[in-house]
Amino acid sequence: MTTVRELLFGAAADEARAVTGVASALPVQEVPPETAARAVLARVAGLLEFEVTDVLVQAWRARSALADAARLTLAEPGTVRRINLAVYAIPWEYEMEFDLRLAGKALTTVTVSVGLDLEVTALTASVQRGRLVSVDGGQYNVAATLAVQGIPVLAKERVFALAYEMKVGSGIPLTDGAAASV
Amino acid sequence: MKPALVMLIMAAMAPPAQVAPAAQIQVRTTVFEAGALPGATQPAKVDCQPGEFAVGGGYTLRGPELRVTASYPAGPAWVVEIVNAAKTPAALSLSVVCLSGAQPTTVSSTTGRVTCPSGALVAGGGYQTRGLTAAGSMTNSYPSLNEGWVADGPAVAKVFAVCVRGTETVRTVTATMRALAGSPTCAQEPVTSALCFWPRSGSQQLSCASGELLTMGGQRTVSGTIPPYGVSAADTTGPMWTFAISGSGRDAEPLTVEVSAVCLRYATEPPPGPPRKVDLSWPVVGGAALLLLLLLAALFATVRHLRRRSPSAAAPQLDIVLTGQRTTLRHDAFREVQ
Repeated sequence: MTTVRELLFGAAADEARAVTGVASALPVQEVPPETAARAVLARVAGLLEFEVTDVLVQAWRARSALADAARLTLAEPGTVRRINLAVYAIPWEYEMEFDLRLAGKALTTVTVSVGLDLEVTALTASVQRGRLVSVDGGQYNVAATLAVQGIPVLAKERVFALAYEMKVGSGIPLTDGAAASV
Repeated sequence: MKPALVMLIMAAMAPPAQVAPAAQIQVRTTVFEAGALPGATQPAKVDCQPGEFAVGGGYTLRGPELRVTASYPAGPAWVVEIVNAAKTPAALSLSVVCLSGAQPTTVSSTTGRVTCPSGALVAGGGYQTRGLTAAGSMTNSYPSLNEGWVADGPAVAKVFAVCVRGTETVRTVTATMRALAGSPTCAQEPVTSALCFWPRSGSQQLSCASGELLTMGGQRTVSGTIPPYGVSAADTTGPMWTFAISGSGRDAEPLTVEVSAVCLRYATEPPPGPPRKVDLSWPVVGGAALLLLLLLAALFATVRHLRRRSPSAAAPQLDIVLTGQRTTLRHDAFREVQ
């Protein structure tokens, strides 16, 4: 299962490129820019330790035909709905603000933005008791960007086979009611 | 230079004896409302007042779906990072133990264990993790041999220790907490028939002796497993350190945790005696002043020489403190075709 951190910084070359990009965007003079960039990126990477499919599930919960089906099947136990999604797309943005402090003294504030453009095509999914219980087919395209102080420093794109990337187990809750029931 | 002469110079030039302000602690608390931001880590912070330094801190959760992913010192503040897994806002109270009258040093490491500089003793400690995992983020966080701090667990990334000097003693008080598993809740689906969760809860409070300052506490698992994100309180409440767990895990074994509290006792200054009368003649004072100037010049030259030889020594610590974050789904660019 791929995390957002792995997607953005998975390869050593990506990390090096990110360090160079962040170092040039950071407004600090008290420490070597590369040192500050590595520290900021380490912190950002720690906050990106969640799976790229988690973001998709959150989007589905917020707005999708799957969420509509989840509400209907929760209201009518015993029913199963199969949903065909030709296209599902929504961008997701994650903005973080950090204070850089040297020996306790504030140096500057840095804004880091991570953007994920999510696009799923040709998916067939089953929903039962408010949960996503199966995923067939489905191509998941994710374009990820990293920006510091509004300056783009890294862009990655990857395609996943959703049936392999997303493990539904005993069902992924798509509504609050389904999350509460075991 | 003859030691006796140096001592004479120092005695002649020393300022009148002063009583250093006694080290004191204040516990400052705040309540943080964690919004329902799916998957997002939210930083909560409580500050000391000017002139104070954070030596310890902690949290008490007021929502069962709150997940703590970090609790650590950040200069004059304590930061707790949380993820709210609920769909509605939930609160937590967090506290910082602020020390005045003495300045601590914070050290950190990515190896799970950090030791205070030579001569300093540990007053508190904390950790940062890489975020949420199914097995939890942190299991143990506790003082080590009065000299450092240890933190371990499935996702621990950095451990911090707050170190102080000038203490007469640092004492770790410990108590054992046991929590038995309750009746399990098992999933009904055939595919997950073996999936059961055992609830457990328990708490332990510790206090220091009279004349000691309680700065922080910790916990170390002796046997069993703390449920993932099951630490509901690791906090200073009044004069006590409170540790509590509440949660469910896939483990029915009895849980035993050693809970510890760090207690400092500062050396008491001797009461000021009658002023000492120093009767020195002018030639002695003049000679002493000349020798002092020579000493200072030699010291200055030595420091410059050492700085040239080791330019990277004692690099100050760079902290990256998360102060805010938000996630947004851009509905303006939403597309769905069935």
